[in-house]
Amino acid sequence: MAIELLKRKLSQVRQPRLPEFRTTEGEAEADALFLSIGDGAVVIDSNGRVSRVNQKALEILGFKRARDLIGKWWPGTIIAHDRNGNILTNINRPITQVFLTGDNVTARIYYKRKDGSSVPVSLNVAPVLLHGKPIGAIEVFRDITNELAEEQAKDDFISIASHQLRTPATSVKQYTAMLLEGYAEKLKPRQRELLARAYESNERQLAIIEDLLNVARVDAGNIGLNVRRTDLIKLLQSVIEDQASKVRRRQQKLSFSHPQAKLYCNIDEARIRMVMDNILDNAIKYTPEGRPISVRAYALKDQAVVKVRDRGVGLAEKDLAKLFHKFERIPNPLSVESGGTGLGLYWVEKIVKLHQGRITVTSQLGQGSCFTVYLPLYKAKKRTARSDKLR
Amino acid sequence: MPGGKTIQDKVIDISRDYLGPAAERFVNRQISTHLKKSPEQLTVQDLPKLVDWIRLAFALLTNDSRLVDEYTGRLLAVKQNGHRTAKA
Repeated sequence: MAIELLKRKLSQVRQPRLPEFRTTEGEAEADALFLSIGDGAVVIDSNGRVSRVNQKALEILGFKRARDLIGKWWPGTIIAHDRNGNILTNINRPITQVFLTGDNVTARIYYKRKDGSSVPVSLNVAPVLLHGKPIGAIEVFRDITNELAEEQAKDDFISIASHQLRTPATSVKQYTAMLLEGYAEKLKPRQRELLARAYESNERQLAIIEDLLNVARVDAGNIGLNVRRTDLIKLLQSVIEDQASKVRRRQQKLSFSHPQAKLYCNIDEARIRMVMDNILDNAIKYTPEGRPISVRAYALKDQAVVKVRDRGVGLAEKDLAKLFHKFERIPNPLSVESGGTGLGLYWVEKIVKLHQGRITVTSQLGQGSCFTVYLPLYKAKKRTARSDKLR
Repeated sequence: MPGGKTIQDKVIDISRDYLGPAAERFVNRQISTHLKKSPEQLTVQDLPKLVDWIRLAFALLTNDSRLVDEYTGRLLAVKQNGHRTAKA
């Protein structure tokens, strides 16, 4: 990684200097490396001031000369904001988070250019250490204006296309259902068989369209959650019952354990039902016939934890990071047979995050996977002293 | 340290002058993140390393370098001067 190499080189330089003051081979090499980075790069010193900036960073930020930025206090000179235009407070800026968390930070934010216009950037910030002592930070960023426009165009296309597809596909479903129920006339066995296949194919098509629409809605931020106190155990029992026929068909053994009789969460019941449905459906699809699947739900501090563990095909470690990406399908012996859009888990993660929860996965190729969903437990509002008195 | 203030207490006390009510959370987080120990276990030997990290984080919260120097100087004085932590 260029940033790692650069960090090593920069850490060899005792005091960040401008190129004309370089005194050692190491400094010259660090300068050359720094200036040749294709992305924008800025080095911040221990006073939060810019000590180095490359040409690309100047271009992205709309500055002509390095001296317009060198020595300036970074948070005050380059304003950062989110996609809604809300200014990021200094404590919430990625560079500050580096020193609060000690980790590299990757983020997408907007920077105000010198002329007042905004530019979206994807950035990575890391602390620069000299013999283990933090001496500053390096921020590498690139202009993602074109990427965002492409993503937006793709999202718009998915949204429009799926809306346009759903209406005729739903009509096909209604009419095939009417034919199957004998509304036109009594069907011969062969006619019924072919029509039943058409009905099933149409159902798969509608499921794919629904996936596309769900993703389009979540990407556009158009999902409003109807959050209320919901018993997660009851919800899971219902999801498991709905999937029971599939489990029986695949001769799998599905168990559900929950130490607590009830587990109340503040969730949108319909959305979380779809989340659990999706995860369990994957476990059933990617577990060979006859193997076990277990669901366990319990409370851990202020969270409800749901673990869905299977003994299915599992995933290689290199594929785990891709699992929640849009349109990502991991090839395995059962994936061709199972079909799918590669949108399910992308959507699942988004919905869980909207609930202030998170989802993790552990897996071993050929051994199975375990998906864990964390959701905030329901908290009853504390009665204030005043309301107690009024009672 | 029965009856006396711990190093953690002293660091938080000084930090309150610069960070207000956020001081305790800020300091404890810096200790656990960068020193990999629980805040109560902070010792005077840990102070230089802790102050390095605090300096960088604080320098991104304020443009006033003099204030950054003053804050980190007072923190380091906890090590150098034992109990003399009063503001200069």
